[in-house]
Parts: sequence; structure tokens; C-alpha cells
Amino acid sequence: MSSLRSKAEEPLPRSFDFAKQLAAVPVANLKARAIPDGEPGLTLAIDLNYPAWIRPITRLLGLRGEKKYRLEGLGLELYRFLDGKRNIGDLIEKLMEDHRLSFLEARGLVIQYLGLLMKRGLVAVGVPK
Amino acid sequence: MSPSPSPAPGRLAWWHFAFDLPADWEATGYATRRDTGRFHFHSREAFQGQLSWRPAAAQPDIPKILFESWRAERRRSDPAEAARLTSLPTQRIGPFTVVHRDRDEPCFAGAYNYATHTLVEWIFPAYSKTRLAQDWTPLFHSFALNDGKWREWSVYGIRAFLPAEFSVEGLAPYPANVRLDFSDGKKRRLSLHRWGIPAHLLSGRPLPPFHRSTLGKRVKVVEAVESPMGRHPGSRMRFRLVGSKGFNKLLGRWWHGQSDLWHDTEERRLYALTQTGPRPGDFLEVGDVFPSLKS
Repeated sequence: MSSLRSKAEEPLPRSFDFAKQLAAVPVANLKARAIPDGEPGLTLAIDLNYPAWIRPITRLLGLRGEKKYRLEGLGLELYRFLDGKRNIGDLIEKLMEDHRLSFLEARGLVIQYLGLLMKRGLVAVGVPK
Repeated sequence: MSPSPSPAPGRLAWWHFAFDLPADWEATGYATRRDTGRFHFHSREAFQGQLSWRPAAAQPDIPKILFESWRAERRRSDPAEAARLTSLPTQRIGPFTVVHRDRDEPCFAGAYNYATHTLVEWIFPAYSKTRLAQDWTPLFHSFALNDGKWREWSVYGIRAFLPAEFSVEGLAPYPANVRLDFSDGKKRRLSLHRWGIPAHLLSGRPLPPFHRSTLGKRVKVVEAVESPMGRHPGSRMRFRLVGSKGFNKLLGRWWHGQSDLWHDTEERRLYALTQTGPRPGDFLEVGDVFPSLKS
């Protein structure tokens, strides 16, 4: 019975806080500029923000003023869907419908891609109070 | 167990058991060991249940085990009641013995698998009459032994049948990208793969370039043909494989490999069966592993 007791006393997994996550609204960075290059996909440029003390000499040091990112495939599909109104739940529903994915598959992909876009400064996520 | 094709979602078949799951349940935790392990299931709303298995040499006292599980859980919320009660009424549903008490309290169920001497247990986080009737009762009745010469392996949308000598060695369930690895213990290895979103994976290209990219750099493709699988467009590649470590990389034997990939356009999924081994004649037929291709 000792093995039974240790097994039974382990707490059951807590539920994911889906509701809060699904209500969050991803917003595209309005300062990202689309750069037409005639290729499929989308190239976006973001101005780099340097510390105040170095800004006057960034050109002198040859530092880049902007950084470019290329979006293709699912990342581009999600980015184009961001209008500042649709929340993460809407993005998940769209992926489920368009690609016949299960809820957790679509959720995993949306979170993964939004994380990448956030890391690159292309998207911010607002959580409603 | 005779292989029969049916849709894979909502199905779980593992080492020695199989269940038809409620449609909206998805596995969020898994174990690959034969003797003991567990699966966790969530729906969109919440955690739905835990399935666990463990060895039991002889028929255990299932009502007592379930009651002890209930009592361990109850101790957290009401220690006095947990200490006072010595048993709970049980209910028999299909092969399962079920114990529950109050609404929204955990419900426990267990069945003994005589063929494999395994105790199979379910724990559901919140009991209600509706859940018991609509979700759990069909689940209990769907319980089947999975111990034939061909064993079913169904999880994360994959449904395949393999000879019993194959054992699962790895499972990588990424979103819309699931891989199951098997070995027969005699140098034969086999992988089952299922991808979602083929529109982006293929990007308008034919299947072979994508197929080649899935095999990695260690293989030398010796034959590549377009090969429909059932009614789906497909690709077959035969390849040779050499070791990747130390002297094996330099002097190792070139092994044989065969990979079949197909695009289920209705389901919007790509599937692949990749086999490697010392002799090409030992490879399994795709239609035997995926009987749904024959329908």
C-alpha cells in the first residue's frame, strides 16, 4: 500500500488558465515598416533603440539604424490577422478552422509564433483587466 | 485484436490497453514505460482526467484501493470525514469499479487487466451525474485489451498497428508535429510521423523535396518514386544510413532504410512511416501499419 499512498497523495494537475490567456489581445507594432521586395512573404523593418548616450555616435560607429525580419508561412498568416481587436482565442479558432487543427495544437502554435514575434518587437500582447 | 480502420482523433491505444476518448479530450501528459505510467487529458475548458497503469501480480482489492485514493484526496479538504469513513459504496460500469461521493469532488475508477497483470486507474477531478453518463461511462465501456500479435498504437491523432515485438522508445508531441519512435530490440527501428498544416510545409512544392528534408543529412537516398498510398498522393524513398558517432561513422555498416510519406488532403495532414534495419526484406507493409489506407 505504500506505493498506492504516495501515488494517491500526489496532487492532480492544475487546470491551465485558458480563459485569461485566450482573452489577451495581440497588437502589431505600428512602427514596423513593410519593405516591398517582390518576393513571397513580408519583410518588416524595425528601428533599433540605442541607449541615449550612444545615439549621437551610432552612425560614427557604423551601428545599424534598423533591423529587418522576414515573415513567411504561418508567422505571416498570424501577423496579417492581427488588427488590435481579435484576441488569442480568435487566432486559435481561425487556425483550427483553416487548417483542421485541434484546440491544443492551434493554441500551441499561436503561443509559439506570438512568442517569436514578441521577441523580435513586432507584436505586443495586451491582457484585459 | 484485429486491426480495423477508424478515425484516429479521440482514440488512445498504448502498451496493453485501448480507449475511445470523449471527442474534445486531448493528451497533455504521457509516459512511454510499459510497466507503469500515466496520461493526462485536458479539454479546452479544463483538466479532464488522469489515466495511470501499474503492475499488480494478482487481482487487487480495487474498492479498497479506490477508497484509499479518495481518502487521500479528501484528507486535504476534510480530514475529519477522511478519518471517520472506512469505506464508500462502489458502482460497476463495464469492467471498471467506480467510487465517488459528492458533486465536484474527484471520482476514481479502476479495472484489473488479467492478461497483463496490470491495474488501470482513472481519476477525474470533478464528479457529476452528467459527466459520468455522457463522458466516463462510454469511456469505461470502450476499454479493450491491446495484447495481440499486432498491437495498436494510437495517440495524438496517429493510429497504427505494429507487431508485438516493437516497443515504443520515444514520443515527441509538438503542436501539429508528432513523432513516435519504435524498436524491435533486434536493430529494426521505425518512426511514425504526423504533421499538420501541409499548406505551409509544402508551400506548393511536390511531396519529394519535403520528404527528403525529413530524412536528414545522414541518409543517402538510392531510390525516390512517387507512390500513392491508398487514395492519397505519396512518395517512397529507399535510402542507406550510416552511423553518426565515432568509428561507427567512419567504418560502420551501411543500413537499409525505407520511408513512405503521404498527404491526406481531406484530413489536411501529412503522414510518414520510416523504417531502418540491417535487411530491406524485413520492412513492414505500409497498409499493415496503417490499415486506414486500405479503406
